[in-house]
This record gives sequence, structure tokens and C-alpha cells, in this order.
Amino acid sequence: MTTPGPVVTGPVITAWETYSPLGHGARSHLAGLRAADPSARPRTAVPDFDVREILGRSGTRSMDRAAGLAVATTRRLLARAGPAEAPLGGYAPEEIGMVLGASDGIKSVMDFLRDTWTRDKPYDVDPSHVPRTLMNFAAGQCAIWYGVRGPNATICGSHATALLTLNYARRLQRNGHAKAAIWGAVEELSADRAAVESARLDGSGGRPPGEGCVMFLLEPAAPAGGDRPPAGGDRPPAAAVLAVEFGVWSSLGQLRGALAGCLRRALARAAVRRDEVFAVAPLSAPGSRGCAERAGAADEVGDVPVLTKTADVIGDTGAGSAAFQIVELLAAGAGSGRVGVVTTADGEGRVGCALLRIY
Amino acid sequence: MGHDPALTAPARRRVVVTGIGVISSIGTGVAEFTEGLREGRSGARPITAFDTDGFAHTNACGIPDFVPERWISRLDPADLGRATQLSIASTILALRDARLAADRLRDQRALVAVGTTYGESGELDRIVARQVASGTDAVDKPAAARSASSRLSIDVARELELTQAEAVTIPTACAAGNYAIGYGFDAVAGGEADVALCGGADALLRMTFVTFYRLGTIAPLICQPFDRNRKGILTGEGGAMLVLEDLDSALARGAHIYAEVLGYGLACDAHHPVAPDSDGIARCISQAHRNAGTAPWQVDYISAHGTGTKANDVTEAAAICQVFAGNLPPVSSLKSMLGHAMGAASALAAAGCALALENGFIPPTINHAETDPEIGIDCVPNLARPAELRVVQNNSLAFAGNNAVLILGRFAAGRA
Repeated sequence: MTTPGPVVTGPVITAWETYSPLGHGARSHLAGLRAADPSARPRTAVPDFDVREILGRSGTRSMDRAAGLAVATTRRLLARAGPAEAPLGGYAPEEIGMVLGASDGIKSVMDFLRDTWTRDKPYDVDPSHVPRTLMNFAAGQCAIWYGVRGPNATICGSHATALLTLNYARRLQRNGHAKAAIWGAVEELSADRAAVESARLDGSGGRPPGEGCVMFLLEPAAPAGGDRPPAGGDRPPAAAVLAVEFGVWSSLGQLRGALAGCLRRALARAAVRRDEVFAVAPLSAPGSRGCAERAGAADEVGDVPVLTKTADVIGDTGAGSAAFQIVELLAAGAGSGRVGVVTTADGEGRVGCALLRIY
Repeated sequence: MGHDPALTAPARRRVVVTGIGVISSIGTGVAEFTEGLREGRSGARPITAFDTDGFAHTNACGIPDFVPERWISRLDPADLGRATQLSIASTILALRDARLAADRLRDQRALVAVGTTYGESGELDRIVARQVASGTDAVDKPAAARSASSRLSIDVARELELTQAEAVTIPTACAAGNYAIGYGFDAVAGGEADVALCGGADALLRMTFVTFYRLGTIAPLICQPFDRNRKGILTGEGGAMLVLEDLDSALARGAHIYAEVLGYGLACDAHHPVAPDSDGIARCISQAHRNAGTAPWQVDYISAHGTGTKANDVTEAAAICQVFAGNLPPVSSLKSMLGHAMGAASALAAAGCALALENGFIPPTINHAETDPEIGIDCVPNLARPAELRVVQNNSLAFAGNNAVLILGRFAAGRA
């Protein structure tokens, strides 16, 4: 049943935006990242982010923080992608997809459940709190706020979430479901999430929980010979998506080999030589998992710079982590035309990588 | 039945369903499930999964006799939430049905895509219940470990010891099963995966019941889609996973082929967080046909989302009428039998569609007395109907305006 994978000429990322603990917007985030001292205590919360102040009081009453971050970041992305007379980057509402990586909305769900246990009757809950208990609420809100009527999907996979989301967006576009896609990942900070994640760690330590959202615009690859995407106007590509690959490990001893194998398949599929790779941005979880991940990456791409500053500075952004890793790689490689690698190794058994040629 | 080259990826491979794994309130495994659909069996029964004191209605379509240890061997079921147990167990059933040994899949490029609505929220309820009872903030550690919905997909890969799998959970609420199957179709059709294990899983949860009870949509005893006297939904649970392979490899290994996946469509209402919108649904149906290279007149049967609420039934029927004009095929709702199994619902229905194609019958809408005059459809009331089906359509709608429609066809060698 095994067949050789096709050589993929990937679509391109032409814009990105963020709300992060380092600031509102891409510019603030990058400036904050350059200036930050990685040995200082992480700044884990998006500062001055009150959903109703940022987005206004209309339509935000029952919005949770994750949806607020996703909607606000989408607004910034669309402003960056095109003028008001060409909203949605010039694409028709039906032609553009929205794909959001998200984790369980732990706070919204637990708040709702607390009401069921503490009020007179279990069903004595506020019905306006129902939509946000569903994991696809934020993506649906982004679609409603900006009239994105193409495919709308939510993707979930621990720290691999943003890479899985990128792959979903890539396949939507590749298989004709959407001409372009707004995609990204979001994570919110809450005491409930911190408590649940800390209980999962069972004392083995981790980065402090952080939050934020990154949204990207994915557009079709330029036609042969061209260097501009055909449909989106005059946006130059920030990066081409050459390959996204995944694998699975069952015991820690398998992780290094699983990631190396995953990278090897990605390099082969994209026809990229290891000496074209200028840097790796790993998840780099604390402890032996991160060690094994970095070792597996080095096995395939050699001794290249390893970028981990974002996580050192803003903490564990969960579902959003790989999106922030991509951003760090884009900043490091800007203007180079070289290939950057994002890797991840989550605590559940996934490894993953993406190869991006950065312009 | 050609594909529009302008809208499809280069050189799409044909994709077939070669294995079906179902754990449902009307039966486990292909034989029982098929028999249940043909007999019009009802999965409705009193809820035993949680305490229903204080609720006026207490029926749901649960699976009280689901024993995860029967199927799951490598992982410890005690370490898994119920939705994860359902996703793993139904995958194992699907692989057995496909006569594919896990060790044969181990080093293949596999996509594991599991759709869900509530994922492992039941474990968060366990944590909250204990916190409230104890008056502390202490978090139940085993429940915390089980509570990640991302585990619905990765634990399938770990149980099967897959090494090259992409394991993704797709939490697009009540359309999630169709999303996951569509994603598996794209991965295999595009030559990016050798095999896709895809479908959906959700457990019968107190949280789900409370939610729909509060929204006033829980039926007292039975679910009656399209009936003038419908009274709402019954919550349900289940797991349904399909094995998708490309046609050539399926033929080469002599696999049994249930159906061909012809295509699917996604569209977002971008309108309201919970209320469905007939234009968005109609657009999604048209997208699905464009992707599948089919036309509405070719459709012999529609498996409706059909929840049994007025909002759903009227809106969905309007959307179907909009696309099919005066040429409506029979439309039935499997939720009349299975209740609303949330993220598993459209995967169960997709399995039902494949079995309907294979066995030549249309599953009925049970509990039916009198069709709502606002809905001009033939809902195949109460009794399954023999029918030679060639193309069937599986609708799903979800909160957040997430619509997904899947098109399956009877496999016929030589059709391209």
C-alpha cells in the first residue's frame, strides 16, 4: 500500500499577525522578542487585553478570552492583508477558509460546570454561556465577525496543534475547498487551565502557562516563474510551505528516532538538502522530552542555530506554541531565501515538523 | 462521473471505504448495526451514565453495555476518557472489519482524524464535581490526565503502535464526523496518506444533557425528526470510524469495498453561533456536489442531520428543497434511532450510508406519526425501504455554522 509521496510545491504565507504577551501586533511582538532577556521571568499574559475594550461592547458579552484573542488577531491580519475596499485580502467570502487551532476551553467549560453543581438546579445555567463551551466557538466567531463563509474548521492536537492546523489549511487549499485560508492558533491563560495542566505534569516541571494568538494568511503558490501569489494582489510571500510531516512515539526512548524520521521524510518530500537549512525552532519542552526533540532534529539537519527564545520569554502557549515558533523562524530568516524547520514533540505522543522557505 | 479539473487537486486518486467500526446504542459492529438500521431499532433508554434527579425527562441513547476492555489491549482503559475509549474501540473494529492487521499499518503513512463535540469534557466535570464536593481547588490528577480532547486521535495511534501517523482531533461540534472523513478523503486522494482512519466519537455526558435541557430541546421519550409533533432531541453517544484506502491498493489486497467516497463540501454560515441558516447549508450541499463531480439529480438518498428540533428540521428541509428543486430523493434521519451522538453523529450516519449502499436499503425515520406539513419531504417513515442506491448524501450541521456534507457512491469498477 505504500506509495512514494509527491513532491509538493507548497502554498505561501503572505501575512501574519499576533496578540502576544510581548504586545499587540506583529511589530510589538518582534520588538519585544528582540529586546527580551530570556533569563528573566517570562511574561505570560497578553497585556491590556480586555475583550470588550479591544473589540467593543457589541457581540462580546459572552465571548471568552480565546475567542477574543482570535477575533482581534484576525482583524489585525485582515487589515494587514488588504485595504477596506478589498476585505478578506481580495478573496470572495466563499473562497476563503478559516482554520483555527485551539485547545479545550478549560475555563469556559469548568465555569459552566460549576454552575451546574452549585445552583438550585443542575440546568440553572446561563444559556448564553453554551456556545463558548464548544471548541469550535472561536473559529465560528471569527467567521461571523468578518464574514468568512468558506470552510470553517477547528483543529486540536496538544503542542502539535498549530502544525496540524497548517497542514489542514494547506490541504483545504490543495484540494480545491478554498482558494486561500486564514489559519492560526490560540491559547488563553486562566487559573483553571494552569491547575489542570499542572495536575497533568505530575511534578515533572514545565514552562509556566502562557497565552496568545497568531493568525497567518495562506495563499496559492506562485505560478512557475513568478514570485507573487496569483490571486491575492501584490502581497510578497513571507514563506513557502514546503512540507509538513508527523509521526508518533510511544516511549521516550523512541522520540528522538521518531522526530528524525519525520524530518527525513519532510526533507525528501520537499527535495531539500540538509545544508539548505539555516535554523530549527523546536518546541523544546523542559526536561528529557525537549532534549530528545533537539537531538532528533540535529540528527537530520546538523548543528544549526536552535531558536527557543519565544517560549523562554512568554512561556508555554499550548495550542499556540508552534505558531509562535513559526513567527520566530520567519523573523530570523527574513530575506534569506533559506529553509527553516519547525519541530514539535508533545507530551501525548506526537512529533511533527514543517519546512518553510523564508523570503 | 468526471471531476471538474479546475476545482480538484492534481491527479486525485479514487478513495474507497474498506472497513467500518461502529459502537452505537443500536448495536456494535457492522452486522448488528446494519440489522438495527434495517429493523428501525431505537437506542432510547433511561439514562444510567449520571444522576438525573431533578430532570423532568431522563431518556437518552447511551451504550450501557460498552466494555472498553473487550477491544483495547495495549493502553489501559482506566487511563482513557470515555470518548477516547470509544474512538479507539471503534477504530479496532474498523480495522478488523477491513482485515487489516495493525502491524501491517505500523510503518505506513496514516491519517488518524477523529471528530468530536465535547471530547473529554466529562473528565473536567469529574474534576469540578470533586472540587465542589470537597470545597477545595484540588484537581483530580487522573481525570486531568484524561481530560485532553487531543487524546481522542493520538491514543488511537498509540494503541495501534503506528509510527508515521498524523493524529488530529477535529472538534467541529456536531458536523465533526463528516469533517474528519472528508479530511481522510483528501489525504488519501491526494496521495499524502496510504490509509486514513477517520470518523467521530462522543460520550453521553451530564454536561451535554444539561446544555440541551436548558435550551429546551430534550425530548421526553423519543426522537421524532420531521414529525408534526416532534419534541426535540435525545442525547446519545457512540464511536464510528472508517478505514479509507486508495482504490488500487484496496483492489491489490483483495479488500472488501463498501463504498466509494466521491467527495465532500464545507461551508460556514458566518451568521449565528447556534441557529442554522438554510443558505449556508444549501451552499455546502452544492460545494459537496462540485467536489464530488456529482449533480443533485443523481442522489438516491439523503441522510439528514435531522435532529428532531423544529429549528433544524425546517431549516434543513428548506436548504434541501433549495438545491434539489422539485426532484427530492427520500430523506431520513438516523437520529430517530441513534439519538444525537454529537461529534460521532455524522460518522455513524456515514457508516449507515455506506451500509445502505452495500445492502440496498434506505434506513427509516422511526417514531414517525405525521409529517410536518411545513416539510415537503419523504422521510421514509418507520420502515426501511429496499432501494438500489448509487449515490447518497450525508448532511451534517453544527453550532458555529459549521456545515459539512459527504457524498458516497456505490463502488463500481471502471467508473472514473
